[in-house]
Amino acid sequence: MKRPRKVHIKQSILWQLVFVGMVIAAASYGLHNALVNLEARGISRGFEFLKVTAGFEVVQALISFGEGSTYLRAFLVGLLNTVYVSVLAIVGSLILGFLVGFARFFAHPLSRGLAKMWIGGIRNIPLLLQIFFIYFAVLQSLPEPRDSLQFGNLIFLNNRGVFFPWIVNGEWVRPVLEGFDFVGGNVVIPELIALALGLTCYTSAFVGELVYASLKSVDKGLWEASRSLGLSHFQALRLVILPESLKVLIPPLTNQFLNVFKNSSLAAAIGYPDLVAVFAGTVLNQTGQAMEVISITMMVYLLISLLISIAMNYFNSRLARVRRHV
Amino acid sequence: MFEKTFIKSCFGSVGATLVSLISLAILGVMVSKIAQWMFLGAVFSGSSSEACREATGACWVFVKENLVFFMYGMLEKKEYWRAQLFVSCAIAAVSLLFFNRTKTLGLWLNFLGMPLLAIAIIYNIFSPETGVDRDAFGGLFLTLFVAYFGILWAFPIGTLLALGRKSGPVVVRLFCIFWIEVWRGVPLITVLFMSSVLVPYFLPEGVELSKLTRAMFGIVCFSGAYMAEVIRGGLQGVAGGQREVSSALGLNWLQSMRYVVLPQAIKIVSPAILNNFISLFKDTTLVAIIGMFDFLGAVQAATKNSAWLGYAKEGYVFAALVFWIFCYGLSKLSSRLNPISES
Amino acid sequence: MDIEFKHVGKSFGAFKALSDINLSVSKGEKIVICGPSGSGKSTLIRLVNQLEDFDEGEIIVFGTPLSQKTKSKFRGEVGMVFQQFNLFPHLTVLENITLAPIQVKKWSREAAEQKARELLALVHIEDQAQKYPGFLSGGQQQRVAIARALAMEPKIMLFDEPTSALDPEMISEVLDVMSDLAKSGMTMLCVTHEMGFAKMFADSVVFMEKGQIIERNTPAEFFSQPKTERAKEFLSKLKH
Repeated sequence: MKRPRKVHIKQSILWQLVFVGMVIAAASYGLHNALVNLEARGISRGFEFLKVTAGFEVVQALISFGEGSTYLRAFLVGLLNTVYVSVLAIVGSLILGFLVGFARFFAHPLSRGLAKMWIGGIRNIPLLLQIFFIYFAVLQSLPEPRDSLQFGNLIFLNNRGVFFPWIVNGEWVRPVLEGFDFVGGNVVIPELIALALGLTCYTSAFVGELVYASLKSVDKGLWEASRSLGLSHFQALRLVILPESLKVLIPPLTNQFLNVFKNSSLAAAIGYPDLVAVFAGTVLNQTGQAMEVISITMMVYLLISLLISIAMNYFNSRLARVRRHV
Repeated sequence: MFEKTFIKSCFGSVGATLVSLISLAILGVMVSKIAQWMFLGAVFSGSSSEACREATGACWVFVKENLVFFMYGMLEKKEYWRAQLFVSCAIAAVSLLFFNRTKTLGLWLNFLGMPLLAIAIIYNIFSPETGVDRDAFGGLFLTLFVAYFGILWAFPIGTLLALGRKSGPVVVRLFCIFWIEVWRGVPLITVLFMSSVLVPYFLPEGVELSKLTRAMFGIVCFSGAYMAEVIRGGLQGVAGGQREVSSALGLNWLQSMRYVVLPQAIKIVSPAILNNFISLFKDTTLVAIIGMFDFLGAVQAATKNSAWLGYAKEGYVFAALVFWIFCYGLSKLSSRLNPISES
Repeated sequence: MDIEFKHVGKSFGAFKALSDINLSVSKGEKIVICGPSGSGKSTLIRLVNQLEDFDEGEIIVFGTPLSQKTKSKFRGEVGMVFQQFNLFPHLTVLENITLAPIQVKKWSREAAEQKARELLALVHIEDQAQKYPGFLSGGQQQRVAIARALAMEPKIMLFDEPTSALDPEMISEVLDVMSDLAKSGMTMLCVTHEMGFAKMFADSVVFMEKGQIIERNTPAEFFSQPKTERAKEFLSKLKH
């Protein structure tokens, strides 16, 4: 009995070695081709390019980015913009999603119908199409800066974005029309609006469905028990049903956050300066170092996705432990 | 009876009445605006943007005039038959999968026949002198083409990855986990960038793939990884006793997977597979970003046409309607209609 | 001799499931194995068709010692019926029975279906052939499972608590089929608490506890005057 099993294990190890060999062979063949091709096209290799001055401008940068900034700086600007729009969209889709989810849950035919319409409509239309619609069909058709829609001569809405007063050097500065554009104050660029709004709407449909499902998953007995204890409908919801449903809701919800983060890369389609647009777009075009740029980009997404997954798993296992003690 | 409860639940209390009024207001504004824009103020007849100058609503002439472009992209009229033939064959081949008797034939046709057909009439390998440009294929046809092959090849790849991840030896398992998690961890757009920009570098000199093939490569990798996780979920849902009884009956691993475990696994997750397909169908729009004229890409291009400036809304609404009908229809498709596994 | 256990031991990690098992089963013999839960009864019979590997000793089936190499050799020759039926839910009753003969024995579909219908008649459910398992009662499902195992024309049949998952009124229909099988001269190893069946058909009763065989006896003696205290205790609990 024992001897044959050893033979079995030996065989299995042999096959695994063959498999590893094949993978390595395929990878090194590809790599060899890549080296030859890069050589032939005179493209330099390595990560030195990150220190080179970028020499382009970015319409929205959360950290200072000027003429002398490097490609590395451009990478950071893109990454921060990705995080920025992701956070905006996550917060937005949570608010809207909970609203939709509750509307769908309530025994109110009209609110339920509206929520169902929203979920069924939004979910079945590609996100990119929604972003295009908001950006090209709505925001681009806003008036020129000269004919801006105004709100009390403070806030101006036009096809270059939303302009509003902001503190500069400790003073409130109002945006003022100079020539063809506004100066002073602060601006939210239309690309950001379109992307954040599109992501928010799209994700809110999924969040809404999740919220609804999690509320429904709570045992009916809990409703009855809380009502019989004298809690009002609202109290039962707030004190018993919602906390219970959160346990079911949170794991798939984190998944939606991951999706928002990945979907924010659609920025490239409308020119919002996110990681993909700035780094895998402009920087790639200028340097030609496709291998380095694309692997860095993919690695960053992968890393952050993994971090979010790990955090989620940790959170889940803690949640599971808490539940077992109950 | 129904009316009574309806009225009671809408206006039974102050809160309910408030919600009703808000809902009715939203509905009312929405319906009137949409009706005004889509139908009452819309222009349906004409052949140029001239016809729409007075319109207070949508200019459907724009859609009407550009319809063939939306459907076929830049394809010449005399070559439409290629797209039509391919789509008809694909529909036929897929529907064969839904019937027990024709399932085997369907598998052969889908995985061998259709790729050959694609090579013959889309890639036009056999008669290059006819000069049909393979990059001219576009529009809704391209969307369907990419989605069809994307989901079809996701099945075998996803199955292999799922089996490898679940019951392969350590090395294979690690490889499968790595492969699956990489594709699932990055956005599709970076995958498309990779396959369109990076893949050419990895090919030997002289070998060139068309834009379409490169995009397909990325999409298949991507959808295969997602499919793997869906199928793995199904494998976990199959009761452990099934494997056991199969081996007690003398079936080997391959046989028990093929006849006992996989059919059940795929059946369990068929709704998830359908959802996966809907996602993929929506995701194919991303090929527009790497410069291909799929359905959305074609609509986008048409709105930039100087003869038709200012009709972006019409274009996108039309595209949204088409996508919505496809996706909503698919999501309503009964999960009992399940290819590969029967009954 | 059909089956011979020689000093067989088996552990699951630190847990010793079986130790020093010696048992021989001759051709046509029917053995009922009983004992408290966790005593290793199921593990014992699962070793015979190699659903589990053992760590110590030797098991000889039809004169051949079991090893990794014989893993697929005897499957099919050793049929097994499980407590939870384990019918294939996605296949009809007929397909459940014909799957293994067609795939493993490479029979033609016609021959396999012919055989399946005969077996269904044997277990008295010939009219359910086209149904899916989900539409059958527990007793019917278990009879299909027996027919499915018999379709491979096994020389030994293993029963792992075949009636434990059944409602009381369905137990007898399964026991009837098992009785018919016993009369036909099949070698049978049954883990069961159906003492009526044991009294009527078993050649010997094996009592197990904590992974060991405590007693092997004829049914008549086992039930009237068991040799060990533990068996006495077990029997008295069973009666109540």
